[in-house]
Amino acid sequence: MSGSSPPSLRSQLGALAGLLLLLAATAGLAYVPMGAFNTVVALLISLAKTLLVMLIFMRLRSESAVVRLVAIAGFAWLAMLFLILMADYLTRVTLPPPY
Amino acid sequence: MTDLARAHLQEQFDQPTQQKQAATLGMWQFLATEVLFFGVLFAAYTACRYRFADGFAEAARHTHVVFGSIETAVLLISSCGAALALRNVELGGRRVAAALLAGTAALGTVFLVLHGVEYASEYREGLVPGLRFDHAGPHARAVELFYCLYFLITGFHSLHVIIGVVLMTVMAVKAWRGRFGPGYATPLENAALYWHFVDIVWIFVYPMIYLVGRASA
Amino acid sequence: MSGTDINLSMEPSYLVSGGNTLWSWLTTHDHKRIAILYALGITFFFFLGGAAAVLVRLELATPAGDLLTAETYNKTFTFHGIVMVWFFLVPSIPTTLGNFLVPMMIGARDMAFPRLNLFSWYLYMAAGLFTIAMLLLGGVDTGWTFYTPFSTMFSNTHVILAAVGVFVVGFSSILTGINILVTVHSLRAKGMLWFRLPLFVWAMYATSIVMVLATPVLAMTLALIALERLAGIGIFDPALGGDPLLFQHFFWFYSHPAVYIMVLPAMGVASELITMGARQKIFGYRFMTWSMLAIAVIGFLVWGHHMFVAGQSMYASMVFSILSFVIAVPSAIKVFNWVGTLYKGHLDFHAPMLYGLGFVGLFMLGGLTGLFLAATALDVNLTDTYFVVSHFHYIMVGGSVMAYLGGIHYWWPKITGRLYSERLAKFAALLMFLGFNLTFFPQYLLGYEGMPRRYHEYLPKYQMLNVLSSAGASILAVSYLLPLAYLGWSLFRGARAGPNPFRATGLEWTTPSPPPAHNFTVPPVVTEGPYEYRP
Repeated sequence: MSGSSPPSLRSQLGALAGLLLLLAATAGLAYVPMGAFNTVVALLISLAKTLLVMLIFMRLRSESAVVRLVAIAGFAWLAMLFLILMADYLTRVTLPPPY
Repeated sequence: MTDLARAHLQEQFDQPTQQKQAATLGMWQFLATEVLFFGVLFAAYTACRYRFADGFAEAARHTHVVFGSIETAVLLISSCGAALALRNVELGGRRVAAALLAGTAALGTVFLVLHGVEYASEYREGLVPGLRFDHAGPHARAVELFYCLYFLITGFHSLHVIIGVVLMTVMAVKAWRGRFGPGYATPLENAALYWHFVDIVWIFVYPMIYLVGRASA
Repeated sequence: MSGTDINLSMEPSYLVSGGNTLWSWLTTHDHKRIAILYALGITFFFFLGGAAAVLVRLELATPAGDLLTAETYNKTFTFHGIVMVWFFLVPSIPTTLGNFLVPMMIGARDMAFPRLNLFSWYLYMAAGLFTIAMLLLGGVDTGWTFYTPFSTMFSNTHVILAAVGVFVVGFSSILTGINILVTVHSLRAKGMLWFRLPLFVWAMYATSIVMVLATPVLAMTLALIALERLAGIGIFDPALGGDPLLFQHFFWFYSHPAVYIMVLPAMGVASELITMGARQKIFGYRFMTWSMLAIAVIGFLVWGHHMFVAGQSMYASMVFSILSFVIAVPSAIKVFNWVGTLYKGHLDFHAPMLYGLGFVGLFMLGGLTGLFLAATALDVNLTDTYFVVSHFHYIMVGGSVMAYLGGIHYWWPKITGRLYSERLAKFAALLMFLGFNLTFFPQYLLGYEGMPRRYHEYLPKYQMLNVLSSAGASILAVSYLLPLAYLGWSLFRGARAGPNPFRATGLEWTTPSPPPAHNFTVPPVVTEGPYEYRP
């Protein structure tokens, strides 16, 4: 046992309801022309869904600090990869030929 | 401690709570490795999409958004099923938990079948790089790159879903046989964490693959 | 620490209890037996990789490419790299000394996940079989770095087999890392606070963080190469708009932290050897722990220094260069602290201490040359020359291998219950130091003079230094065979060891040599820090 009592039925079904709503939102908003913001919105909604799954289904709310740190670590390290990788691509300059 | 907990206490641990916390910590560390494993594909996608934004938008419009959306809903519901099954076991349940777990496995199978239908359709449409790729046009190579990533990402994800379905089925059988209880449900806890992770991967895959370029031509 | 006498029970040792059959060893859950199983594999692969090195040095004794064809030479150094990196350096200390000592040093009965531990070993052995199969079928010629598009599109060798072998051994190390992390979190004895842990345990912890977070990236990258070769699904294919440099980013995102996987454990061993050899507390314990964690984290941010001339953007190169200088700081702190530990100590120059001191000196030389390479302007001239080869061999061989052997010697009595010949051990250590420097110091000069790496032939002006290097290699080879001989001999004819032949501190020394299956008859209770040496 994690030491705490099992979560309520309401929390689990509530999370599912939230997730399905967010699914509808992201699918709908994809058809609304927002330029670059389409991607931003989609990512934010995915982030929200992920948080719901992690905090409520995977019960991170009631886990120890160490477990939460580990849960974040994977994403943090991925962020390191993304940021510096894209820093290369975003700052590449096409060199003109030397003649 | 309950009899079940005592029976499963391994000799290197002093208390069942200590053992359970160790198992949870270990499982989350494994999931962190999976985040980085899939992360490489997401990073590759990001790098390629940055360079070929239009090509990717065109390519993504050929994906089957209805199928993708249904698949997302199926996985989200199955995740809830796994969470509810664990809760049921912790409250002393057995049959309901087993049914929920079987349902989760069934939904996972539905996901795989739907995805198989998509793959077959993509083959017919000539969108499978390396096998049958007929797409022409100004962005042909970017489209092919997109579909390489599509098959890689959804392929690895589906592989994990297959593993998850097997795990959930095994857990369903164990739950039915009363192997879990309020004092001990570690294999089920860890299997459920795995399943939720597989769901999270898809939560990111869905908009990246199916929803790109929908707002424009 | 209490419980010293109570833990000297007359229980049978782990070598005996649990059975003496092969089956009992192959199905063991005992971390100590698993450590020995690993040690056998690791020793085998060390000498296998060493054999490839012998071929390389034989070829390079003359300027002409007369011993091996260019293609065969490519396969030889590739095999040397793959075996030494993934089948020796990455696993060596964590799976042998780490597996054996981490539970003992923290006062536990076993690792957190004993069955997972055994499974890790089976993965290692299976991966080894793939690698040997790859060798027998003709090898791989891409270099251990598998750069695309050569590895994905043009190489006609067994890349997929090699990739599978490394993929599997990668998972072995991930599982070992998870095991170590959870063990240190969950199974510390009463009173074994985090800042009372021996630095070896901290080193294993930091290493495990890197193993767990870096290796999955390698796994996927290798899978991508294999799939590109197999199915034509290619994201590195330039014809499709793919970027070969993307491969290098992913590969080095793992492989740079991998070098810290290879050196952090050695640093942990060195701290143990030096505190014991000087009979003193480590100088700056907290700085030592924080510096190892800093190396583990910052190590993930410097990978682009392998790609300065590959086509990476100038700005990214600048960032990587600066961070590569930054990461030298915690390493330098550690070198200062090791030296500081010697000050006013009661130095005893037995073999483990010689290895420990050798590590500090050679690691320092290798690390300093890393600063040369971190400077982009210098790297443009030094990259892909023997300067780089020498740099990493100073750290990997002069550093990690010496520390590994030092640790093997130090804990040999504990692991086997036998004492080795101290005279031969001292001789081997000194011979190794001499042979190593003769082999690799000329290579710095060769690189500075412009000799490129990975060529089976070279301009005649480089011959003298190459001959010196090859001569040194022969001495080095002897110095590696010597321990094999006298340590092996000690198993049968060595004097029996008492519980603490070095009068060292540490919970592992409170048990009999070798320890019983469950390490401690009475769980230890810790009341003081790790290096409380009484004069």
